[in-house]
Amino acid sequence: MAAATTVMSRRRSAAFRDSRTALIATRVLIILGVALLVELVVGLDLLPSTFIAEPTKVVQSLGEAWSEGTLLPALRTTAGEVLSALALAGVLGLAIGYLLWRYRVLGTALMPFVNALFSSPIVLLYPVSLVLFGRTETAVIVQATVYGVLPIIVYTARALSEVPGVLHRVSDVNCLSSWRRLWYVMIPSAAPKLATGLRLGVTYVMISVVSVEFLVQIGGLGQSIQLAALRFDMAGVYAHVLAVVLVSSVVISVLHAVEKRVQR
Amino acid sequence: VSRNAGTWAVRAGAVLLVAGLWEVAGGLVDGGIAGVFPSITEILAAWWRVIQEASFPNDVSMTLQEIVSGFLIGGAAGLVAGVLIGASPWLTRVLEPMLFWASGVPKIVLLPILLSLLGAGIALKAGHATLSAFFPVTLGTATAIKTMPAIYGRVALTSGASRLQTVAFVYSPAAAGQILTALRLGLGVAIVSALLAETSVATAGVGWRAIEYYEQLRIPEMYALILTIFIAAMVVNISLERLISGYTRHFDEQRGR
Repeated sequence: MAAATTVMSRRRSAAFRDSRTALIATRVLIILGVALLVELVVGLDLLPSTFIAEPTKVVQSLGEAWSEGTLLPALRTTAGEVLSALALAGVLGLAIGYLLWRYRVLGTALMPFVNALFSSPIVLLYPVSLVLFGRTETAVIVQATVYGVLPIIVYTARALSEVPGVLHRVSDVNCLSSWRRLWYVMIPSAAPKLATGLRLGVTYVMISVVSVEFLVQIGGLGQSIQLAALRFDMAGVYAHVLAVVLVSSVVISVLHAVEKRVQR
Repeated sequence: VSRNAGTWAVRAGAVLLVAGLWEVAGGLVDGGIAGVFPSITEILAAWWRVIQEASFPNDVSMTLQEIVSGFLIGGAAGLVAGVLIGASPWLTRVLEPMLFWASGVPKIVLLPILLSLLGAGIALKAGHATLSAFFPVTLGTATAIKTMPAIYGRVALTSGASRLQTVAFVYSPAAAGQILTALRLGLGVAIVSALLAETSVATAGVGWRAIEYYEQLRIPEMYALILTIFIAAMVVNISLERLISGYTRHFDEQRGR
């Protein structure tokens, strides 16, 4: 009887340990534990606050940036640039990916170039964007579009080429036009990989936008971090980094959830 | 043969089209802003000047040191973390999503923090490359370990292999393809990160030099240097990709037998 109770209790604790609530609680505890450790280390002067800001001061600084009205405009600028670049990269990427799949010769000839560009340091082209468009938001958007369009092209072409042959034959038997075939057969079948391409595209666009904002100081969250660093305001630096981390984490989680849903 | 010729014809056509558009754009834009689109011959001449400059070998050596040290430290740390996380289903469930979120954060925003910790020298760029390489290597290694078929371990156990033999001769070859791919991705981001950090805080290195050329309005030199960096990065990446796919094919053939 006692053995059975122990087994039951072990099973219950294992079930709790694997439950979603326990996982989230563990993650929160890890984050709070690290924050507490940093607070103690800096509070006890084991590390100077010029190197690492206390988490309480970071949260306070984030609150101040919000109440002073500096955080929201920066967030809005970054979001606007990300959305513009994403719209451009999405339209261009899907169209070019479709063309590379539709015309085999083009695909065979040009995909190696696209793949090679995909693996090259595109972010480093930002001086070229600056030369062409000056220190403007357009430069940030164009640079992010170039960076974000490549995964979308690669995954679109790959997704369409992996549509099972039987679906093409079914489309032929039903005499579907090219557009109806694309809309009713190809896109639903290719959706999981298309979603992966779009998720990667968003991630790349976001990285590019924040990086160029930071490096060239053209508005947005990237510039806010750089300005805080120039003022030697470490709490401000950490606060804006935290804002970037929060925004990226939320966007990535949402996209990942959407991708998983599409894949199901 | 004709299909192959067609492919090469399209490739040559694409290169010529880009070159032609560049020259035409140069003609149009240079009416207003001189030097924005230098001609291709100007860029080639500038490339020759760039590689002959006395500072070029030092810049290349500095950038290589940053990339290699950053990749080695970040890659090694990522391998260890990836194996530990991948081997434990609980750690995978707790930490993998957190690493996934962290991997999408633009690491460049951490540069001021790294600057206060590591100073403005080579350690800063290497540290930035380390941080960037760590995430793809960790996530790739963890995936390789956790997706490894459990039957491999059982076969090794029934064959009487020791724990060390199982790791060396069963687990390592089975996971190597995915881990090598993760390392290739890690190297790619280490290259980008070191170069980006150089464009922000440096006094030498090819990334820094490209920005110097831009600020001195030596635009043909800037294009020439960026083109050189692009070609070098692509060659490294494509060579590694071929090596890895060759290894994976070899392993698959072995497994097929």
